Amino acid sequence: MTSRRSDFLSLRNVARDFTRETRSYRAIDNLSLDVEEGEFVAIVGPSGCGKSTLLRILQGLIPPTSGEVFYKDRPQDGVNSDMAMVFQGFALLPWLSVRDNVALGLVARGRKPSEIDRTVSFYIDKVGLEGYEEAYPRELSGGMKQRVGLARALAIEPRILLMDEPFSNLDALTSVTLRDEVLMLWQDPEMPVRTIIMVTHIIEEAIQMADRVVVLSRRPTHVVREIAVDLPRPRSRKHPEFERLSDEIFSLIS
Amino acid sequence: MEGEPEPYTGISRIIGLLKILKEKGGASDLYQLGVDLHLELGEELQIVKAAESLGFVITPESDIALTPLGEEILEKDINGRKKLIRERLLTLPLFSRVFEWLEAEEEESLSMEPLKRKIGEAFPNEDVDTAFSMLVNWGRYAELFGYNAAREELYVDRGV
Repeated sequence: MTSRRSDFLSLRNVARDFTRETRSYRAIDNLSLDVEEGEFVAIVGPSGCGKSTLLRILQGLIPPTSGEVFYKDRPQDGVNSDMAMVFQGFALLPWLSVRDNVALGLVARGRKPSEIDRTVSFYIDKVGLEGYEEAYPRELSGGMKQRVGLARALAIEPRILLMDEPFSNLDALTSVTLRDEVLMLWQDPEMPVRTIIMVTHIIEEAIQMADRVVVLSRRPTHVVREIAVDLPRPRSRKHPEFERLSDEIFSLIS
Repeated sequence: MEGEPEPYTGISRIIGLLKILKEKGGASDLYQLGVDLHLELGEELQIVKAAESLGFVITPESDIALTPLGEEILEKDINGRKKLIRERLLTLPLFSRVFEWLEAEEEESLSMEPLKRKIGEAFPNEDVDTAFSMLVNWGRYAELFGYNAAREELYVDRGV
Protein backbone atom coordinates (compact mmCIF):
# COMPACT_ATOMS: atom_id res chain seq x y z
CA MET A 1 0.00 0.00 0.00
CA THR A 2 3.02 2.27 0.09
CA SER A 3 3.67 1.92 -3.63
CA ARG A 4 4.62 4.84 -5.85
CA ARG A 5 1.78 7.25 -6.43
CA SER A 6 0.26 6.99 -9.91
CA ASP A 7 0.59 10.19 -11.88
CA PHE A 8 -2.83 9.52 -13.46
CA LEU A 9 -5.28 8.95 -10.60
CA SER A 10 -4.42 8.37 -7.00
CA LEU A 11 -6.15 8.36 -3.64
CA ARG A 12 -3.83 8.79 -0.68
CA ASN A 13 -4.88 7.88 2.87
CA VAL A 14 -8.43 8.98 2.23
CA ALA A 15 -10.91 9.02 5.11
CA ARG A 16 -14.53 10.06 5.10
CA ASP A 17 -16.80 10.64 8.09
CA PHE A 18 -20.54 10.95 8.07
CA THR A 19 -22.89 12.19 10.74
CA ARG A 20 -26.18 10.49 11.43
CA GLU A 21 -28.46 11.86 14.16
CA THR A 22 -25.63 13.75 15.86
CA ARG A 23 -23.43 10.65 15.89
CA SER A 24 -20.40 10.65 13.68
CA TYR A 25 -19.04 7.48 12.11
CA ARG A 26 -16.13 6.73 9.81
CA ALA A 27 -17.20 5.20 6.48
CA ILE A 28 -13.78 5.11 4.83
CA ASP A 29 -10.46 5.01 6.62
CA ASN A 30 -6.89 5.26 5.37
CA LEU A 31 -7.77 4.15 1.86
CA SER A 32 -5.09 4.40 -0.81
CA LEU A 33 -5.68 3.40 -4.41
CA ASP A 34 -3.89 4.05 -7.70
CA VAL A 35 -5.33 3.76 -11.19
CA GLU A 36 -3.29 3.95 -14.37
CA GLU A 37 -4.69 5.34 -17.60
CA GLY A 38 -6.14 2.55 -19.77
CA GLU A 39 -6.93 0.25 -16.86
CA PHE A 40 -10.23 -1.43 -16.14
CA VAL A 41 -10.47 -1.58 -12.36
CA ALA A 42 -13.28 -3.30 -10.48
CA ILE A 43 -13.96 -2.45 -6.84
CA VAL A 44 -15.70 -5.13 -4.81
CA GLY A 45 -16.59 -5.30 -1.15
CA PRO A 46 -19.30 -6.32 1.28
CA SER A 47 -22.59 -4.47 0.96
CA GLY A 48 -22.71 -1.15 2.76
CA CYS A 49 -18.92 -0.86 2.80
CA GLY A 50 -18.87 2.53 1.12
CA LYS A 51 -18.11 1.56 -2.49
CA SER A 52 -20.45 4.18 -3.90
CA THR A 53 -19.08 6.80 -1.50
CA LEU A 54 -15.64 6.02 -2.84
CA LEU A 55 -16.79 6.64 -6.43
CA ARG A 56 -18.27 9.97 -5.38
CA ILE A 57 -15.03 11.00 -3.70
CA LEU A 58 -13.16 10.01 -6.87
CA GLN A 59 -15.43 12.18 -8.99
CA GLY A 60 -15.12 15.06 -6.53
CA LEU A 61 -18.82 15.12 -5.71
CA ILE A 62 -18.02 14.82 -2.01
CA PRO A 63 -14.70 15.77 -0.43
CA PRO A 64 -12.71 13.38 1.75
CA THR A 65 -12.58 14.27 5.45
CA SER A 66 -8.85 13.76 5.29
CA GLY A 67 -6.35 12.50 2.74
CA GLU A 68 -6.01 13.56 -0.87
CA VAL A 69 -7.12 12.73 -4.39
CA PHE A 70 -4.56 13.39 -7.13
CA TYR A 71 -5.53 13.57 -10.78
CA LYS A 72 -2.87 13.97 -13.44
CA ASP A 73 -0.36 14.51 -10.65
CA ARG A 74 -2.21 17.45 -9.08
CA PRO A 75 -4.48 17.58 -6.05
CA GLN A 76 -8.08 17.38 -7.23
CA ASP A 77 -10.27 20.26 -6.21
CA GLY A 78 -14.02 20.04 -6.87
CA VAL A 79 -15.83 17.98 -9.49
CA ASN A 80 -13.59 16.29 -12.05
CA SER A 81 -15.03 17.06 -15.49
CA ASP A 82 -12.93 14.29 -17.08
CA MET A 83 -15.14 11.69 -15.39
CA ALA A 84 -18.67 10.51 -16.12
CA MET A 85 -20.86 8.12 -14.15
CA VAL A 86 -23.15 5.28 -15.15
CA PHE A 87 -25.72 4.67 -12.41
CA GLN A 88 -27.32 1.50 -11.13
CA GLY A 89 -30.82 2.95 -11.49
CA PHE A 90 -30.12 4.47 -14.95
CA ALA A 91 -31.09 8.01 -13.79
CA LEU A 92 -32.97 8.89 -16.98
CA LEU A 93 -35.40 11.78 -17.24
CA PRO A 94 -38.76 10.19 -18.12
CA TRP A 95 -40.08 13.22 -20.01
CA LEU A 96 -37.13 13.30 -22.40
CA SER A 97 -36.63 11.09 -25.44
CA VAL A 98 -33.62 8.77 -25.72
CA ARG A 99 -31.86 11.35 -27.87
CA ASP A 100 -32.46 14.19 -25.41
CA ASN A 101 -31.40 12.04 -22.45
CA VAL A 102 -28.12 11.25 -24.20
CA ALA A 103 -27.62 14.96 -24.97
CA LEU A 104 -28.14 16.05 -21.33
CA GLY A 105 -24.50 16.27 -20.28
CA LEU A 106 -23.53 18.15 -23.43
CA VAL A 107 -26.38 20.63 -23.06
CA ALA A 108 -25.35 21.21 -19.44
CA ARG A 109 -21.83 21.94 -20.64
CA GLY A 110 -23.12 24.56 -23.06
CA ARG A 111 -21.91 22.87 -26.26
CA LYS A 112 -23.09 24.17 -29.64
CA PRO A 113 -26.26 22.51 -31.03
CA SER A 114 -24.46 21.27 -34.16
CA GLU A 115 -21.74 19.66 -32.04
CA ILE A 116 -24.32 18.15 -29.67
CA ASP A 117 -26.15 16.68 -32.65
CA ARG A 118 -23.05 15.12 -34.12
CA THR A 119 -21.73 13.74 -30.84
CA VAL A 120 -25.08 12.35 -29.71
CA SER A 121 -25.58 10.57 -33.04
CA PHE A 122 -22.10 9.04 -32.81
CA TYR A 123 -22.63 7.58 -29.33
CA ILE A 124 -26.19 6.47 -30.00
CA ASP A 125 -24.78 4.48 -32.89
CA LYS A 126 -21.86 3.12 -30.86
CA VAL A 127 -23.96 1.69 -28.03
CA GLY A 128 -26.51 0.24 -30.44
CA LEU A 129 -29.36 2.65 -29.75
CA GLU A 130 -30.01 3.68 -33.34
CA GLY A 131 -33.70 3.11 -33.98
CA TYR A 132 -34.64 4.18 -30.44
CA GLU A 133 -33.87 7.90 -30.73
CA GLU A 134 -37.44 9.09 -30.31
CA ALA A 135 -38.48 6.49 -27.75
CA TYR A 136 -39.11 7.51 -24.14
CA PRO A 137 -37.63 5.64 -21.15
CA ARG A 138 -41.01 4.03 -20.29
CA GLU A 139 -40.96 2.29 -23.68
CA LEU A 140 -37.58 0.69 -23.03
CA SER A 141 -36.47 -2.54 -21.37
CA GLY A 142 -33.89 -2.29 -18.57
CA GLY A 143 -31.09 -3.21 -20.94
CA MET A 144 -32.00 -0.44 -23.34
CA LYS A 145 -32.32 2.05 -20.48
CA GLN A 146 -28.81 1.26 -19.34
CA ARG A 147 -27.52 1.69 -22.91
CA VAL A 148 -28.98 5.20 -22.74
CA GLY A 149 -27.19 5.77 -19.42
CA LEU A 150 -23.97 4.53 -21.01
CA ALA A 151 -24.34 6.68 -24.14
CA ARG A 152 -25.05 9.74 -22.01
CA ALA A 153 -21.89 9.17 -19.96
CA LEU A 154 -19.76 8.45 -23.05
CA ALA A 155 -21.11 11.46 -24.94
CA ILE A 156 -19.23 13.93 -22.76
CA GLU A 157 -16.10 12.04 -23.83
CA PRO A 158 -14.70 11.47 -20.35
CA ARG A 159 -11.20 10.11 -19.83
CA ILE A 160 -12.49 7.98 -16.98
CA LEU A 161 -15.81 6.17 -16.91
CA LEU A 162 -17.18 5.42 -13.44
CA MET A 163 -19.79 2.70 -13.18
CA ASP A 164 -21.77 2.16 -9.99
CA GLU A 165 -23.24 -1.36 -10.01
CA PRO A 166 -24.26 -0.82 -13.65
CA PHE A 167 -25.78 -4.25 -14.25
CA SER A 168 -27.42 -5.06 -10.94
CA ASN A 169 -30.85 -3.73 -11.96
CA LEU A 170 -30.92 -6.02 -15.00
CA ASP A 171 -31.99 -9.63 -15.32
CA ALA A 172 -29.19 -12.20 -15.58
CA LEU A 173 -29.29 -12.71 -19.36
CA THR A 174 -29.45 -9.01 -20.17
CA SER A 175 -26.48 -8.31 -17.92
CA VAL A 176 -24.44 -11.00 -19.71
CA THR A 177 -25.04 -9.13 -22.97
CA LEU A 178 -24.35 -5.67 -21.56
CA ARG A 179 -21.08 -6.71 -19.90
CA ASP A 180 -19.98 -8.05 -23.26
CA GLU A 181 -20.92 -4.79 -24.97
CA VAL A 182 -19.17 -2.59 -22.40
CA LEU A 183 -15.98 -4.59 -22.96
CA MET A 184 -16.38 -4.15 -26.73
CA LEU A 185 -16.72 -0.39 -26.28
CA TRP A 186 -13.72 -0.23 -23.95
CA GLN A 187 -11.61 -2.06 -26.55
CA ASP A 188 -12.97 0.00 -29.46
CA PRO A 189 -10.18 2.30 -30.76
CA GLU A 190 -12.78 4.94 -31.70
CA MET A 191 -13.76 5.38 -28.06
CA PRO A 192 -11.87 8.15 -26.28
CA VAL A 193 -12.52 6.64 -22.85
CA ARG A 194 -9.68 4.30 -21.92
CA THR A 195 -10.08 3.96 -18.18
CA ILE A 196 -13.00 2.35 -16.39
CA ILE A 197 -13.59 2.09 -12.66
CA MET A 198 -16.54 -0.13 -11.80
CA VAL A 199 -18.08 -0.83 -8.44
CA THR A 200 -19.85 -4.16 -8.15
CA HIS A 201 -20.86 -6.67 -5.53
CA ILE A 202 -20.76 -9.52 -8.04
CA ILE A 203 -17.34 -11.18 -7.83
CA GLU A 204 -17.79 -13.03 -11.10
CA GLU A 205 -18.56 -9.78 -12.92
CA ALA A 206 -15.38 -8.18 -11.57
CA ILE A 207 -13.17 -11.09 -12.69
CA GLN A 208 -14.90 -11.35 -16.05
CA MET A 209 -14.31 -7.71 -16.93
CA ALA A 210 -11.47 -6.05 -15.04
CA ASP A 211 -7.68 -5.96 -15.31
CA ARG A 212 -7.48 -5.61 -11.56
CA VAL A 213 -9.90 -6.24 -8.71
CA VAL A 214 -9.65 -4.06 -5.63
CA VAL A 215 -11.17 -5.77 -2.59
CA LEU A 216 -12.49 -3.51 0.15
CA SER A 217 -13.09 -4.33 3.81
CA ARG A 218 -16.18 -3.69 5.88
CA ARG A 219 -16.63 -0.22 7.38
CA PRO A 220 -14.49 1.69 8.04
CA THR A 221 -13.43 0.75 4.54
CA HIS A 222 -9.89 0.29 3.36
CA VAL A 223 -8.24 -1.78 0.64
CA VAL A 224 -7.75 -5.38 1.75
CA ARG A 225 -6.07 -6.69 -1.38
CA GLU A 226 -5.53 -5.83 -5.03
CA ILE A 227 -5.68 -8.77 -7.38
CA ALA A 228 -4.48 -8.65 -10.99
CA VAL A 229 -6.55 -10.68 -13.44
CA ASP A 230 -4.23 -11.93 -16.18
CA LEU A 231 -6.71 -14.14 -18.01
CA PRO A 232 -7.23 -13.46 -21.73
CA ARG A 233 -10.64 -12.11 -22.79
CA PRO A 234 -13.29 -13.35 -23.38
CA ARG A 235 -12.94 -15.04 -20.02
CA SER A 236 -14.56 -18.31 -19.19
CA ARG A 237 -15.94 -18.90 -15.73
CA LYS A 238 -14.89 -22.53 -16.14
CA HIS A 239 -11.18 -21.63 -16.31
CA PRO A 240 -9.42 -22.98 -13.17
CA GLU A 241 -7.73 -19.61 -12.56
CA PHE A 242 -11.14 -17.88 -12.76
CA GLU A 243 -12.43 -20.22 -10.07
CA ARG A 244 -9.34 -19.74 -7.94
CA LEU A 245 -9.65 -15.93 -8.11
CA SER A 246 -13.35 -16.20 -7.32
CA ASP A 247 -12.62 -18.26 -4.21
CA GLU A 248 -9.84 -15.92 -3.12
CA ILE A 249 -12.03 -12.82 -3.37
CA PHE A 250 -15.00 -14.55 -1.79
CA SER A 251 -12.92 -15.55 1.24
CA LEU A 252 -11.70 -11.96 1.64
CA ILE A 253 -15.21 -10.52 1.58
CA SER A 254 -17.11 -13.06 3.63
CA MET B 1 -35.12 -5.44 -10.64
CA GLU B 2 -35.92 -4.25 -14.13
CA GLY B 3 -37.27 -7.42 -15.64
CA GLU B 4 -39.11 -7.63 -18.88
CA PRO B 5 -42.77 -7.38 -18.03
CA GLU B 6 -43.55 -7.51 -21.75
CA PRO B 7 -44.91 -10.69 -23.28
CA TYR B 8 -42.10 -10.75 -25.86
CA THR B 9 -38.42 -11.49 -25.24
CA GLY B 10 -35.94 -8.65 -25.66
CA ILE B 11 -33.01 -9.18 -28.02
CA SER B 12 -30.50 -8.57 -25.19
CA ARG B 13 -31.85 -11.59 -23.34
CA ILE B 14 -31.63 -13.74 -26.45
CA ILE B 15 -27.98 -12.78 -26.98
CA GLY B 16 -27.32 -13.40 -23.29
CA LEU B 17 -28.75 -16.89 -23.68
CA LEU B 18 -26.53 -17.56 -26.70
CA LYS B 19 -23.45 -16.41 -24.78
CA ILE B 20 -24.24 -18.68 -21.84
CA LEU B 21 -24.73 -21.58 -24.25
CA LYS B 22 -21.41 -20.82 -25.90
CA GLU B 23 -19.72 -20.96 -22.48
CA LYS B 24 -21.27 -24.36 -21.95
CA GLY B 25 -19.62 -25.62 -25.11
CA GLY B 26 -22.49 -24.75 -27.47
CA ALA B 27 -25.15 -27.10 -26.13
CA SER B 28 -27.00 -27.96 -22.95
CA ASP B 29 -29.86 -29.88 -21.51
CA LEU B 30 -32.88 -27.52 -21.55
CA TYR B 31 -33.92 -28.38 -18.02
CA GLN B 32 -30.39 -27.95 -16.61
CA LEU B 33 -30.00 -24.62 -18.41
CA GLY B 34 -33.16 -23.29 -16.76
CA VAL B 35 -31.91 -24.43 -13.34
CA ASP B 36 -28.50 -22.79 -13.91
CA LEU B 37 -30.11 -19.51 -14.97
CA HIS B 38 -32.76 -19.58 -12.21
CA LEU B 39 -35.48 -19.26 -14.83
CA GLU B 40 -38.97 -20.62 -14.51
CA LEU B 41 -39.74 -23.15 -17.20
CA GLY B 42 -42.33 -20.93 -18.90
CA GLU B 43 -39.95 -17.99 -19.02
CA GLU B 44 -37.08 -20.14 -20.25
CA LEU B 45 -39.17 -21.64 -23.03
CA GLN B 46 -40.30 -18.18 -24.14
CA ILE B 47 -36.67 -17.04 -24.54
CA VAL B 48 -35.65 -20.30 -26.21
CA LYS B 49 -38.58 -20.11 -28.63
CA ALA B 50 -37.65 -16.55 -29.55
CA ALA B 51 -34.01 -17.56 -30.18
CA GLU B 52 -35.20 -20.52 -32.22
CA SER B 53 -37.56 -18.40 -34.33
CA LEU B 54 -34.57 -16.26 -35.31
CA GLY B 55 -32.52 -19.35 -36.23
CA PHE B 56 -29.92 -19.03 -33.45
CA VAL B 57 -30.63 -22.31 -31.64
CA ILE B 58 -32.20 -25.68 -32.31
CA THR B 59 -33.97 -27.79 -29.70
CA PRO B 60 -33.72 -31.47 -30.53
CA GLU B 61 -35.52 -33.60 -27.93
CA SER B 62 -34.96 -31.93 -24.54
CA ASP B 63 -31.66 -30.32 -25.51
CA ILE B 64 -30.69 -26.93 -26.86
CA ALA B 65 -27.75 -26.20 -29.18
CA LEU B 66 -26.30 -23.15 -30.92
CA THR B 67 -26.62 -23.09 -34.71
CA PRO B 68 -23.80 -21.71 -36.90
CA LEU B 69 -25.85 -18.50 -37.10
CA GLY B 70 -26.02 -18.40 -33.29
CA GLU B 71 -22.22 -18.71 -33.18
CA GLU B 72 -21.90 -16.03 -35.86
CA ILE B 73 -23.90 -13.36 -34.05
CA LEU B 74 -21.71 -13.72 -30.95
CA GLU B 75 -18.62 -12.97 -33.03
CA LYS B 76 -20.07 -9.68 -34.27
CA ASP B 77 -19.80 -6.21 -32.77
CA ILE B 78 -22.81 -4.25 -31.52
CA ASN B 79 -23.90 -2.95 -34.92
CA GLY B 80 -23.03 -6.21 -36.69
CA ARG B 81 -25.48 -7.94 -34.36
CA LYS B 82 -28.20 -5.44 -35.22
CA LYS B 83 -27.64 -5.97 -38.94
CA LEU B 84 -27.84 -9.74 -38.63
CA ILE B 85 -31.05 -9.49 -36.58
CA ARG B 86 -32.52 -7.27 -39.29
CA GLU B 87 -31.78 -9.91 -41.92
CA ARG B 88 -33.33 -12.59 -39.72
CA LEU B 89 -36.47 -10.55 -38.99
CA LEU B 90 -37.16 -10.19 -42.69
CA THR B 91 -37.34 -14.00 -42.94
CA LEU B 92 -40.21 -14.07 -40.40
CA PRO B 93 -43.66 -13.94 -42.02
CA LEU B 94 -45.00 -11.39 -39.49
CA PHE B 95 -42.14 -8.94 -40.03
CA SER B 96 -41.90 -9.34 -43.79
CA ARG B 97 -45.66 -8.90 -44.26
CA VAL B 98 -45.81 -5.82 -42.05
CA PHE B 99 -42.77 -4.43 -43.88
CA GLU B 100 -44.63 -4.88 -47.21
CA TRP B 101 -47.78 -3.23 -45.83
CA LEU B 102 -45.83 -0.23 -44.56
CA GLU B 103 -43.87 0.13 -47.79
CA ALA B 104 -47.16 0.21 -49.71
CA GLU B 105 -48.33 3.24 -47.71
CA GLU B 106 -47.53 6.71 -49.03
CA GLU B 107 -45.78 7.75 -45.78
CA GLU B 108 -44.52 4.20 -45.16
CA SER B 109 -46.42 4.21 -41.86
CA LEU B 110 -49.58 2.78 -40.29
CA SER B 111 -51.44 3.61 -37.10
CA MET B 112 -51.49 1.02 -34.36
CA GLU B 113 -55.18 0.13 -34.43
CA PRO B 114 -55.58 -0.47 -38.19
CA LEU B 115 -52.28 -2.34 -38.16
CA LYS B 116 -53.41 -4.59 -35.31
CA ARG B 117 -56.63 -5.34 -37.26
CA LYS B 118 -54.62 -6.32 -40.32
CA ILE B 119 -52.34 -8.54 -38.22
CA GLY B 120 -55.39 -10.21 -36.64
CA GLU B 121 -56.81 -10.98 -40.08
CA ALA B 122 -53.57 -12.20 -41.66
CA PHE B 123 -52.24 -14.09 -38.62
CA PRO B 124 -55.28 -15.45 -36.77
CA ASN B 125 -53.07 -17.57 -34.51
CA GLU B 126 -51.00 -14.65 -33.21
CA ASP B 127 -51.87 -12.62 -30.14
CA VAL B 128 -52.04 -9.20 -31.78
CA ASP B 129 -50.85 -7.21 -28.76
CA THR B 130 -47.78 -9.43 -28.34
CA ALA B 131 -47.14 -9.31 -32.07
CA PHE B 132 -47.34 -5.53 -32.06
CA SER B 133 -44.95 -5.21 -29.09
CA MET B 134 -42.50 -7.45 -30.91
CA LEU B 135 -42.76 -5.44 -34.11
CA VAL B 136 -41.97 -2.25 -32.18
CA ASN B 137 -39.17 -3.63 -30.03
CA TRP B 138 -37.36 -6.03 -32.33
CA GLY B 139 -38.06 -3.66 -35.22
CA ARG B 140 -36.45 -0.74 -33.39
CA TYR B 141 -33.45 -2.81 -32.34
CA ALA B 142 -32.86 -3.93 -35.92
CA GLU B 143 -33.54 -0.44 -37.30
CA LEU B 144 -36.21 -1.98 -39.48
CA PHE B 145 -39.18 -0.15 -37.98
CA GLY B 146 -39.57 3.06 -36.04
CA TYR B 147 -42.46 3.79 -33.70
CA ASN B 148 -43.83 7.16 -32.70
CA ALA B 149 -45.59 6.64 -29.36
CA ALA B 150 -47.33 10.06 -29.40
CA ARG B 151 -48.92 9.39 -32.80
CA GLU B 152 -49.10 5.61 -32.22
CA GLU B 153 -47.58 4.99 -35.64
CA LEU B 154 -45.27 2.28 -36.86
CA TYR B 155 -43.09 3.24 -39.83
CA VAL B 156 -40.23 1.98 -41.97
CA ASP B 157 -36.94 3.15 -40.44
CA ARG B 158 -35.01 4.78 -43.26
CA GLY B 159 -32.35 6.07 -40.88
CA VAL B 160 -33.11 9.76 -41.37
